[in-house]
Amino acid sequence: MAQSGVVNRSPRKNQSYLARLGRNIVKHKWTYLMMIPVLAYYIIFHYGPLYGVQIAFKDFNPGKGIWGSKWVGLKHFISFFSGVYAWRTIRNTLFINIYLLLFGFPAPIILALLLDEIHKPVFKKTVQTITYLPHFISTVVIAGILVDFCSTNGLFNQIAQMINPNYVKGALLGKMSLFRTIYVSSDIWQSIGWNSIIFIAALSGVDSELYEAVAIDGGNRFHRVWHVSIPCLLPTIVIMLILRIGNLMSLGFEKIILLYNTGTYEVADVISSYVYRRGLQDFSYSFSSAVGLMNNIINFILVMAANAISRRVTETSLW
Amino acid sequence: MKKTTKALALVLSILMLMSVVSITAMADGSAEPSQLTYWRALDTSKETVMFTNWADSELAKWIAEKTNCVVTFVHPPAGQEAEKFNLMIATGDYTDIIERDLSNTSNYPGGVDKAVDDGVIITLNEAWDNGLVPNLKAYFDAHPEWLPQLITDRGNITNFPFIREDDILLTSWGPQVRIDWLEELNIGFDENNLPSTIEDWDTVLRAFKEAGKCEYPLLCVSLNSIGDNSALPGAYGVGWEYYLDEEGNVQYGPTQDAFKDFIAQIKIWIDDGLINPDWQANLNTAQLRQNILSDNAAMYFSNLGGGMGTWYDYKNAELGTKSEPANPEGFRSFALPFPTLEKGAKSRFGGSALHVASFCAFITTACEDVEGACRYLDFGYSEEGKEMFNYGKEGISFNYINYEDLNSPVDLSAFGDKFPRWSDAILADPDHAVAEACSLYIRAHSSGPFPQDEGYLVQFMKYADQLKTIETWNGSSDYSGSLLPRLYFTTEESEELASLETDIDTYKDETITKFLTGATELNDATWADFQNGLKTMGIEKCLEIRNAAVQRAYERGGM
Amino acid sequence: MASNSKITVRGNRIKKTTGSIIFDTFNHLFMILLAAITLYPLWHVAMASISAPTAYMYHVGPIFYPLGKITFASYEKVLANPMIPLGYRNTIFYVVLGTAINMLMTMLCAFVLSRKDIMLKGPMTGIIIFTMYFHGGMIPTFLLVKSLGMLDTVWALLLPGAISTFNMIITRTAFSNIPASLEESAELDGANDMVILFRIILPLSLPTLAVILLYYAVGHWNSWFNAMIYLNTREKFPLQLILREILLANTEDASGAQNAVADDTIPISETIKYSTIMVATIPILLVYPFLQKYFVKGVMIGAIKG
Repeated sequence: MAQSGVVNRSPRKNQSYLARLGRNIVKHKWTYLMMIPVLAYYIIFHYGPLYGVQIAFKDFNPGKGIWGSKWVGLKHFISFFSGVYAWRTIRNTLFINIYLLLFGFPAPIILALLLDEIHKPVFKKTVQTITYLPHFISTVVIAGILVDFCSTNGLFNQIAQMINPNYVKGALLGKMSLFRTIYVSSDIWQSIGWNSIIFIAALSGVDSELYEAVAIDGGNRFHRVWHVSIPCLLPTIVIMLILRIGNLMSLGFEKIILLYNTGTYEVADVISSYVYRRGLQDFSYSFSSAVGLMNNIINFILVMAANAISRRVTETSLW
Repeated sequence: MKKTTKALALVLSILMLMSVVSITAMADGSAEPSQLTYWRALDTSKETVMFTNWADSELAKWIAEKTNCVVTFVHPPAGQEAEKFNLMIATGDYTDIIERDLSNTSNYPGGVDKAVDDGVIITLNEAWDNGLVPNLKAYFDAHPEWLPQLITDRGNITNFPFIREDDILLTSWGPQVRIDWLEELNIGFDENNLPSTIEDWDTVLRAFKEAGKCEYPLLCVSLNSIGDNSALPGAYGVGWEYYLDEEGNVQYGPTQDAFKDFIAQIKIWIDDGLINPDWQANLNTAQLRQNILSDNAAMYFSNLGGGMGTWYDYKNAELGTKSEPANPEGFRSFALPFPTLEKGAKSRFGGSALHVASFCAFITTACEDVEGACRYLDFGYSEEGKEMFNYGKEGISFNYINYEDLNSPVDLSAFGDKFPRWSDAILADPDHAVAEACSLYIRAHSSGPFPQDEGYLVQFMKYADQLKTIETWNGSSDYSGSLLPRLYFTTEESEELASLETDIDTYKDETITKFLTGATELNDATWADFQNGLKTMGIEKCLEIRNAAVQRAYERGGM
Repeated sequence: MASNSKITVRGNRIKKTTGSIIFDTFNHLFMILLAAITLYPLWHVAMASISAPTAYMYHVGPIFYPLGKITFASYEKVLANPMIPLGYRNTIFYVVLGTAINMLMTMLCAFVLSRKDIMLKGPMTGIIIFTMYFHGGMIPTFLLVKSLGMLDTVWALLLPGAISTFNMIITRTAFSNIPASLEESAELDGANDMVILFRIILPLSLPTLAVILLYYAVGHWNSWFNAMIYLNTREKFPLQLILREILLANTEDASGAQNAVADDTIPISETIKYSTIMVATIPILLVYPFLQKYFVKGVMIGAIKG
């Protein structure tokens, strides 16, 4: 559907670019006018402070400010990669993010599709409203509940003992094999409803005539979902997926440090929690900026790649 | 920058000259008050309940009046002190006085000397020599053994420190036991004969378990809580991390052979179900308290004030026995001595505080009235100032009584009949807890630029068990010899330490956890692997840097 | 009206096969289970907030009902703060004005980037996406706000985050999903860009706009960091900043000094954590059901076509 507009684009190749641009601006003067405040905003508030990126290459000293601090080149990057655990934290960040992508990303889509199949408005709205509640509870409280549930005498151990009397109780958060499961599933628990909203909205934009067409062709409910709902969701899914892929190197430290412990570092210690621990020892403004910059460069490359692939395969793309 | 510094130096010297004149003028009482700005974080659990600006407290008003200063306070929002501090420093809008421990390199890269070099703060050396801080100087003249904790490697005196004057103020944390249960066990231990060796601990833990007092008698909230302040490894003569050995050299506990014995003992306790498996789960303070109050632990490590004191409060509140600070029914916590291997020995570990407890207030280069700032901050070290910071004002927040009337288990005879007993303004505020009401009149219950006095503590700790507990802890440990002095590192050194030690800590914590859970068997070969691992990661380099810093500390005055 | 009848029509035309009934049953059961599980965190918070603090102190494990005698003491303590009404007022002001600015700027940006034949669209999108990944950090941003003279003004809370690029991209995606034929026919009718935006694009994207509105409003509602950095005047503080202060003021001090409780003060430091969450969260929870009415299927397309 994105193609139909191409027809309008004038294919006269012999015209100079500037001339075409001029005509384009005149034709869409309103649109270009609308862009002025937007560009001004991005230039002032996003590009204005961008010089701050340089502290990744300096030893930032609050007494001297950003410009006055000493240049140290790639020192902080080298310092990160020369750490024994650098690769492990990168691996863990990627793994947890990939699990979140595999399980956490489809979950709200499935919820939206299932909710869409419910035709009792009150029930539907109630479920929607309830599932979105955990989003508003702070991470500290959620993690506190989890630590409680996972402790030796906690809910999960009690349930396991009820099901299997031979089960040996233990601190579940101390088990390496369980950490990612607990992290990812609690993440889904907290965010499934909130994240499904965008898909519920997209589904509500679907033209109901399309469903009727499927029904007339004798299709069942599965056909309806497969041939109408999912295709209509696809542009939203693809965009969200591209943006998500552009986040594979980032994972906040807050929930990690609330849940991990020395027994699970092997699978739980991520880049941000490592940087956090290092910051406890030494003022590490430049170091954390350098690591952040590195992550973002990788994220940016990932998002560009995902976008390029998507443009070819699905015809939906960020730009 | 250099030019500015020179110019500032000139201005400062002129100011100092003038200040001599102004002190003379002060005597006439005709001086204009000094205008100062003062940045400090409020204590969120005690102060912000009472006021949003410290200028509104009685104490701040009294000090301002005494020192003839008008002070505007700037308080960073709670929890965001670091961000606000960095913004203030980075934008160059310093207040005249900053209250923040800049000797901590995670607060200021390179520490105090670097902050002087960067032109953020001034040194007090000239003020010291020129008599602008007479009380501070007199205080350290009376306690010359603490002076090395105040001056930096480069010989700079930079700040007005927070001092814990009496030994009793230094320890506020340690091992505790449910003494009511222990006495019920009837195995020869009681309040006067407490388990003091690792062997005793073993006996008592097993007895608790057998008697069914609780499923897991010893509660440690995390791996680091097993080694906290080296209380348990200290029994084996080694620290959990860095410590000074008997020759005064820095050592790293996990590289010592005795550390292996310690780990082996803990592993036995874990395997036998004597330690709560939740040591792996990182419980928070609330969860620690929930376990203790709901009879899920018989032995544990905790603070005195925030720990024992609040538990007793909660128990009393629940039982409705609120009127007198008395030990609650059916729950009694009591000190365990810091354990040793041999009966009657004294542990070299357990405490963590120095007398010069933290670097507190600094004067910045933005201050135009250095003399006024010195006068303001120096006040806390005078007899009158010390009394005011600890007790407030006579007739308002305290009255003199005879020390015997207090009936304290602590020896207070030195006070004679001049013991400053807090008045009902603090002790009987109908709307506020003592710790909150205190904030209006004193600062001894948190910290600040003054020496803290033991007379504060004996009133603040309202349960007799608390004071007896401190005495037990103090009597069982002689930790000052194992404690590293305040160390200064060059910027290069502190960066190197940060990059090496983040990895070393991670490796040590993980490996020890594996030993304890049995994921790695603990034997000579695996222990040798662990030692090699620590070496490869640069533990020797870290020891070298720290030993060099300790040598410098000895040189600046001998510890 | 039209939409309702259409839904019924659709429902009737699908044959109620056995499979369909089984699916419906399981779907409903699954939803009930999911709702129960996801309700728990808020339930826990709500029950803890009215539990007797002393009972809460001892409690280990999940909370399904108020512990001990129900008490509203922690709410009293939170609401006794005279700053609370002011905080509510300020927050509502920031939410309304901030979200209005956000929506306007986001719609403008998304509209431009969704047009099919705007020539500078590619580079402009690139410039914008770039800012999602590279930013100057807190100190340069603070200095910028300071040099613009916005310190301690409401603008410091409203302007620096005027567009969330993430939200803008979602909006743009929704805009470009609108069948091009509608725009083309409008253009043939002589409609200019403004008319297309307001008469076609916006009405057809209402569900997505409702979501974006929710995202922005919740973002403003929960935000305290910028207020903390940029505001000095307490009278301008948003609710969250005030609640944060109350929360921290009642947090137990682990550092060793005694946080002794006065004899007749109830130890509510733990339960106050939960009542603050309730006070901060309930109003914004009420927004969502209100927005749900924009998620009704097919209503807009029908309206435009009709």
